[in-house]
Amino acid sequence: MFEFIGFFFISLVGYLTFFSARFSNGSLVTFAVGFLLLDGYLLGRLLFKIKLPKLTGYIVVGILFGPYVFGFLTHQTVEKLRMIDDLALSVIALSAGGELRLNQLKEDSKVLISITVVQTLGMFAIITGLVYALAPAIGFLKEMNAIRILGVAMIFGIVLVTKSPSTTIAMISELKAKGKFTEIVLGITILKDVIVILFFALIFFLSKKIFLTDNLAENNLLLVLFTELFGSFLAGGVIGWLLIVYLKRNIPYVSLFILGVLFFVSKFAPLIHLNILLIFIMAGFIVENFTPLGTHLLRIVDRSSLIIYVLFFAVAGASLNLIALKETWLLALIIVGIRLFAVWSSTLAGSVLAKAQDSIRKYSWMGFISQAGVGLGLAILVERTFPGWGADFKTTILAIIAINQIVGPVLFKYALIKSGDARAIS
Amino acid sequence: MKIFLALFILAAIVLFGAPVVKFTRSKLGIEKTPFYGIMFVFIGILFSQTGLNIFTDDVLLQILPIIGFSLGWLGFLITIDFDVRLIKKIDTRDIAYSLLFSGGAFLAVGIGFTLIFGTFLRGFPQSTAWLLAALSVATSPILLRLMIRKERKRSFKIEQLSLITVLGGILGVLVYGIITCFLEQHAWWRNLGLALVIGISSGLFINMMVIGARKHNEMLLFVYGIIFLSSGLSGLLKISPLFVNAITGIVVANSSLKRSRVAAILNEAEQLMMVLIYVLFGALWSVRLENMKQILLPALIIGFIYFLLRYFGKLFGSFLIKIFSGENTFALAGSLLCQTSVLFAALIDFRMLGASSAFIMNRLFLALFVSVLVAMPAARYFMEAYLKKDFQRNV
Repeated sequence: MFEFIGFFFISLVGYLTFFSARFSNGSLVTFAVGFLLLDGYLLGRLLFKIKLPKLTGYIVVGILFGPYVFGFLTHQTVEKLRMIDDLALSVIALSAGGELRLNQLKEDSKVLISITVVQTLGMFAIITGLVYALAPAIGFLKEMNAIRILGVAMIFGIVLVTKSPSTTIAMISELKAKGKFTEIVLGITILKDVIVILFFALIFFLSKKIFLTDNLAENNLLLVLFTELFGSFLAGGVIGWLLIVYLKRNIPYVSLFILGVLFFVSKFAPLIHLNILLIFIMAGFIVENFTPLGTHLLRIVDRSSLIIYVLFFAVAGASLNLIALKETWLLALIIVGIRLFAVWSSTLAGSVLAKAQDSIRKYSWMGFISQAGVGLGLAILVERTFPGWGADFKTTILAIIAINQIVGPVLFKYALIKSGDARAIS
Repeated sequence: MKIFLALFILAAIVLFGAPVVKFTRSKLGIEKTPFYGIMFVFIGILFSQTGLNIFTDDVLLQILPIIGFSLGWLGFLITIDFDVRLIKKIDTRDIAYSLLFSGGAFLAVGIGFTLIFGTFLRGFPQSTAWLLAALSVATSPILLRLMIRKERKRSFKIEQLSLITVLGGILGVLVYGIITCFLEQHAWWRNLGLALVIGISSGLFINMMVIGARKHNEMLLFVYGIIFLSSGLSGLLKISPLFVNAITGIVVANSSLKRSRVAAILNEAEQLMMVLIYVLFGALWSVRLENMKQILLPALIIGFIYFLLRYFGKLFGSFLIKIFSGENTFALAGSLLCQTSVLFAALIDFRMLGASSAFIMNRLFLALFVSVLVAMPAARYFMEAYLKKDFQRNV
């Protein structure tokens, strides 16, 4: 009951404040942080009571009060709030790395590799093939020749292979899930993230050859990505070692130190083209697997992670482009359907090949539906690189991400409960 | 780009500032001087518009959520211990002392500067005199903490001094908040009313929410969420977030079943937030070096007079105590001269309210910083005299 009263009260205060404030200044952003934290969490708790993930509540608050529905938050305010993104991704990645156990990964390596490879290639092939087949019905592909359609279809294929590691990790954290099923889904999520970066580089390289005649610096692209991957792992190793040194000394305010390191690196790494997710996954992995301090680290991160999760997903919800969804909902819905089929079939094939346990065969595909930052980032890159059709492509991808980000957490919660790994279900 | 640089610097100072400052102090052989936090003010000045010009007006506008939150946090922290039930158990004599010392300083600084601004320094409005008076009420416990950290046993005098210092801090925030409401003469009732409504409803909201919050991170979310919300709202309504959250703190202290857990949540961030407040105090300086000559002299005069009037006010309080109870409290009065975080926070808060021109704010920043530098050794001198018998060899 108090969640409902609280949600209503904060929403009312938000209504009175956001519509009275004449412009988006710093105080409005301060207010918006508090508003999203409180309302997001309260709606999350309300939805949890009707068996939906709390995370859906955070996202729904962002959608409801964001620029496209009630318009409490303007685009400008949302843009300012997105400064939290990198910090949130760092926290999420550090948690994920800390959850990966080397001996478990070795034990499950067959399943992990099989599902990751079959799923990535299978999804890519199915989505590329079906988008290619549907090309005559897709407005911006109608005028293109076959080879160009294939180029766009391949980009669709690779962008839709991506998933949201942050959503997976946040759901595991929300439900306090532990067990083989969780380990495997998490392992695949992280492995896939690395593979997708490399795979995207290759597809992007080919698409540029198809669409762009001028000689761009694409020959350097693979080198840059190679450097990005290895640079990120190396940086992750160094940060992991730093964290170990700090944790061992048992210095007070360690949680603040860790948050500070996360903030510092998350702002600095993109400037030198390093991948935040990979850096912190590696750092968490090192602390977990090479010292007995992993549990301690996870406990520290967990103490402040709720605030970051709520704000991150509420801002992600507010950033979901509902106009794009309105414009392309039919096409988006068809592609979402295709993607669902692709995820299900390829994951099943991978798990059958690896003779994975029953729960993995039946439910693991549900852990790979949600999409957010990675997909969005790639779509923006495509838009910038291919000015002709890139904007239409991005609009369609945004609509697909909007649907996947709402459906994904609900399905994954169901999967975690069904697999028996979820502990915090009431 | 500058905003990222500013955030980097803030993060780096907060992360690595404490060990670096500690190392520097030990190298300079000044580790026993009570200027630990002051070093961070200098670091802030280095990156301010006076120094490397990293914290430009635009950057400050963008980090307003951090500033607003830190002010709100401090207001909340100061009053979270203001539990009336505990106050009732305190000796009324100590409360009376605290009121007399604070009241004496308030009146002396207020009346003194009204005369000074009306005769010598005419560029300052009369309201500035009462702002200074409000700022003079606050006392800082930092020096006392530093002095008694090696004491194994807390004597009566130490307890009394701690209590009066804490009460001084609470009174300081409340008086400052009330005065800022009155500075806008045509809307003082609106400002005061809004501050009370936001502060009280935020406190009641926290009380309601924390009942169902079992986990630490839920408590953290509710407490920090409400500080962000009320600080943002205060900023939009041009009222002090420091004051609003101080009211919230009083409500929680007196009505929450989980008061101690809320206090623990606030205390967790103490080191970080204090460093942040000190750095921001320095970073907010916007004096160009070429204008320093014009500012330096009046600021030094104001700072020194502020210190003297404040001391005189406290002596006046002691004098009244001597008349009524016969007790000699002159050394106790001098021990209360130290001012740091609350004073700095109040000045940051006042600058953020935009109620005064840059001309006045720049002079006030420098003047009060000077007064803090003068007050610290003076307070230490009096404190050593007051606690002479209690101190062991290592002080």
